[in-house]
Amino acid sequence: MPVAARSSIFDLGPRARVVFVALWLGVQLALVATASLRPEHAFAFRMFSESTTDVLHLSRRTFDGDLVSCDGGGWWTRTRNGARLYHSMRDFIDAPELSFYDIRMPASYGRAAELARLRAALDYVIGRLGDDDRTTAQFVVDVNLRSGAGAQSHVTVESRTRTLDAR
Amino acid sequence: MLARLRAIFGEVGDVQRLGLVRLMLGFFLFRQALHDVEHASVWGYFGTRFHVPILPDALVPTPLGWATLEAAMLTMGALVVVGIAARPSLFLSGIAGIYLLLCDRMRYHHHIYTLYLMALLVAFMPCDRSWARGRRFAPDEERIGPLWAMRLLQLQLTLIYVASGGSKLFDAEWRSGAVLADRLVRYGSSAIARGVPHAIVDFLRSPLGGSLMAKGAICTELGLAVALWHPRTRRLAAWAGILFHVTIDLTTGVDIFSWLSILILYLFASYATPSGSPSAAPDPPRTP
Repeated sequence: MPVAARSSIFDLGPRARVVFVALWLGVQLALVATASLRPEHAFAFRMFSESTTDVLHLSRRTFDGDLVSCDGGGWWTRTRNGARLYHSMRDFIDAPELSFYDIRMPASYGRAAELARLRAALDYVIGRLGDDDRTTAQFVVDVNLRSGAGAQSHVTVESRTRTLDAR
Repeated sequence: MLARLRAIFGEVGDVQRLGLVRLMLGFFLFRQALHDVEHASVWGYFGTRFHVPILPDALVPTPLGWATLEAAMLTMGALVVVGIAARPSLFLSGIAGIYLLLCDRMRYHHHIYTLYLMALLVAFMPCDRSWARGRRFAPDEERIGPLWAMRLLQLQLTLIYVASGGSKLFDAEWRSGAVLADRLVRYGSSAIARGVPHAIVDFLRSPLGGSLMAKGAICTELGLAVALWHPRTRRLAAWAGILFHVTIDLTTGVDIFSWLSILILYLFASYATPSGSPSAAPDPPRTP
């Protein structure tokens, strides 16, 4: 059968087509089968998989060992020069589900994704405080989760602990 | 069996409609690149803010590298639309897009991933012969081309339906309707704003409405995966799928996913189910 041929590297020959299709389907099936290994089930097309919501409450552990509650995800601290300074999680994180505290928010891509991302976000922020915060050693977040069916649960997520020398 | 597979991989047909799909896809690629640039202009480049890379952090581009890449993606999106160097542009857009997703999994969304997968597959179709370079119809001598990559794209949509419907089927909370009803509680106001009657949205938010909707969604997704490949039900299933996605788009926020699916369903509606026997001699090309 005559097929007009304008040569292109994307016009694969019969054998290359078989190899390409086998590789493509193999990768796609593997990604779908291993969805549970990734917290947000990325690359596996689990559409609308959950409708979990959560309320985050921030506390911070100071170098004195005190656990201090922080309303709205913000806190006053002292800089290296002794000046008082206000920080907010929203100064560091732009994802609303990780930076809005004390208000119910949708857990984007579900419970496991929210907790994994929150842990990474807290580690990120604690690592960037530097000389602008000489009092915070660790963040502790109380997460109150509610599934779409109404089941409630509570999880505490902690950042890594920071030392003043190593940051 | 081998002969049947050979026939499917060797299938040829009229490529006229593939150009229209390419054109629409180019528009969505351009739009996504523009959205990335707009987001960065408000929030800053993601690599210097909180991000969660799948690749090693050393492979995340510098701000200049990222800006260059986005400029290239904007250009390639425009090239895909006009049909100039469309197939290389589609392929490179797909690779670049998936690379950026791997640089920050916070940016992952099903519709963005689907967009780039589709770009990769459409690059392997003879999609640059029509609706390209100011020409609507493919020249007569180029009207017939290989369809194997289009079949793979159709298979990809089928896989999406099976993965999505299957995961819902095995999730008791989803089957009960709680997930969908709750979603309607949150997004119902936007559905009403788009003209969906208040009474319908209220019913769908109720436990009974949510339950019916959940079972309907699971049956629709799994049913489409089968019916789209059966010669007798193919066309009806394609139209039912289009209606399904329009409904989703009206009632919940899924960005361009519905429109990407509708593009593939358009191909299901337009091309007969592969017979598994060598392609029959095609009709003589229709000269406009």
